[in-house]
Amino acid sequence: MILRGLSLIAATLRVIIGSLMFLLAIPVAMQVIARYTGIIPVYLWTEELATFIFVWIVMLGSALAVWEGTHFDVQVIPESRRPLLRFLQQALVLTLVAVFALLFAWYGIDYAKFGGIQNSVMMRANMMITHISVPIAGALWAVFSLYRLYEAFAHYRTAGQAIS
Amino acid sequence: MIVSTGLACLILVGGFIVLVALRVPVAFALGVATIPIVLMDIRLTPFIIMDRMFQSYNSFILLAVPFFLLAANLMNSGKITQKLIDLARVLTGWMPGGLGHVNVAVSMLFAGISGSSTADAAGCGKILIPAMVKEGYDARFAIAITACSSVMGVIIPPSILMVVWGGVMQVSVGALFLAGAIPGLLIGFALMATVYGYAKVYDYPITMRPTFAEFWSAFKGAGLALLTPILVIGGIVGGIVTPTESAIIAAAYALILGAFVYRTVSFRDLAGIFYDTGRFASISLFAIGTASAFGWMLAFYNVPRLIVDFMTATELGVIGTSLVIAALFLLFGLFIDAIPTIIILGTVLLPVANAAGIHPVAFAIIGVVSLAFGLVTPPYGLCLLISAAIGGMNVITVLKDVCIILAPMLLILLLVILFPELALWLPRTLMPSSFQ
Repeated sequence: MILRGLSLIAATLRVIIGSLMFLLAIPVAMQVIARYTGIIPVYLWTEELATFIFVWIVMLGSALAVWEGTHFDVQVIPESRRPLLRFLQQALVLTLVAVFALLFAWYGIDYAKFGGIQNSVMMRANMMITHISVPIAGALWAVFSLYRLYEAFAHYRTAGQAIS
Repeated sequence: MIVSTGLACLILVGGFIVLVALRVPVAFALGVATIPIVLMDIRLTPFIIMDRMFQSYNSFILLAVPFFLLAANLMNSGKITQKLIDLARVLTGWMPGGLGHVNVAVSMLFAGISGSSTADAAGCGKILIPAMVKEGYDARFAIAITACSSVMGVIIPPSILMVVWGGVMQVSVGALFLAGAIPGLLIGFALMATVYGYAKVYDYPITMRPTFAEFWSAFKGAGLALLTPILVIGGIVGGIVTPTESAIIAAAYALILGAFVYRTVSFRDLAGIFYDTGRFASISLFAIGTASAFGWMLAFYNVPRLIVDFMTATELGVIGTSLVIAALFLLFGLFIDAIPTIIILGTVLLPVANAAGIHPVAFAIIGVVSLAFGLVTPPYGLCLLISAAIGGMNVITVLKDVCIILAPMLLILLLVILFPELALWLPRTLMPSSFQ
């Protein structure tokens, strides 16, 4: 049930990221077309809109990467053969990510509110529209990493039972 | 309390090393390492860190990164890579060690179009590693040469790393692109010399000498793709487009070639390509945020100034300082991705380079070339990991060949340090206005 829900969120994130990447091309392309062909007028808001979309791609992409486990890590110490040590290492990493995520989500709420009292220079858009990505990303990192933690524990337990 | 510089350094750097050793993802390790200091020092709040992180994404120039990645992905999907390989084959395949040279030459061509080393390793490796093994080359050599030649992707312009460097350190990206050209080509020639040596020792095969018709057909196939560097670099150097605009032009051009000229990219493929690009770009660029927060904290505790004082006191001179800088970038490149290293180490060492009288463009090239080598050195060498995965081998088994192939490349880095004009001459000649 939880897995299905989270998989659905991840699938939605994939669609959003692909769509945002496509959308990102539009304001930048408009800028190039406007400046060099004159077919459309030079809009000043294109640059701002592009950075807004970019922020969302980065934030949501980072959350999806926590779910998929694709953030880059470095293997300096060889992986232990003992399931307990392997589990502890995974649990420690996921707990640290979850702590960082929860702090990010918690303080991110204030950060989003701070965005809410500002307007962007060109579009006069309320900055909440980008600042809100901070607590949302934090919450998604937290949920995804905590589920992976639960999964690692379940995997360790079933592996232990299989051995005994 | 007020945290002293020594304690801050210990917690930040020590904490980061421990976290990375525990296999915390690098992007998160940089963020987690800052938590204890924020909790301890009354002058710092989570808000400052969050804002530092968030503002680092607020940069128009960084938008060039996803578009250069998009161009590379479109090229790989659109079989443009295959056309470049065909051209490289008629150009260099007839030399002793044929496919080895093709591997190097195609990376040079690919580098001139894309700007991403990982896309080069993935795109060319998928075709060339199996082809080389089939023709009797040692798989270890095939993997090592694919990985090592792909580093030219970020040295020969355009280059994603140079875009980030220019954006973070306020250096003209056009000047950096031009400065990378000669060192990049020299690395290519050094690699070809190594392939020649391998071919002589292991008696590797030669592909047939091409006929003029074959040559013309390959050139015709790849000719349109080869216009990309002229569009991109010419546009930036001529002051016509910004790096971000040039990146989208490159992506649009790759799209037109793939969808309409070669007709190898369908609209259904496009959805996957856009998603892949967004996903990979976000993983690379997310680290920019946490790295910026980490780097800002180092600056807050005056670490860069202390390093400048220390280095000035040692009186190493231009070459000595350049060597230390290269060594530090090489060392960091072993463990961390190039983009966060630029933000943390690059910004810390910039005042050191300035104090020693190293030109900012020469400093950038030393940094980028050293970091490019980090792409093939374990434990964190993305291009080597990709190539080894394609060849179905463990990274450790190909390490010896990587070291042999890297040695002449390091020699080129040394040459750039000893004779910075190798990097500076081209931008000085072609872009005198933006090049002080």
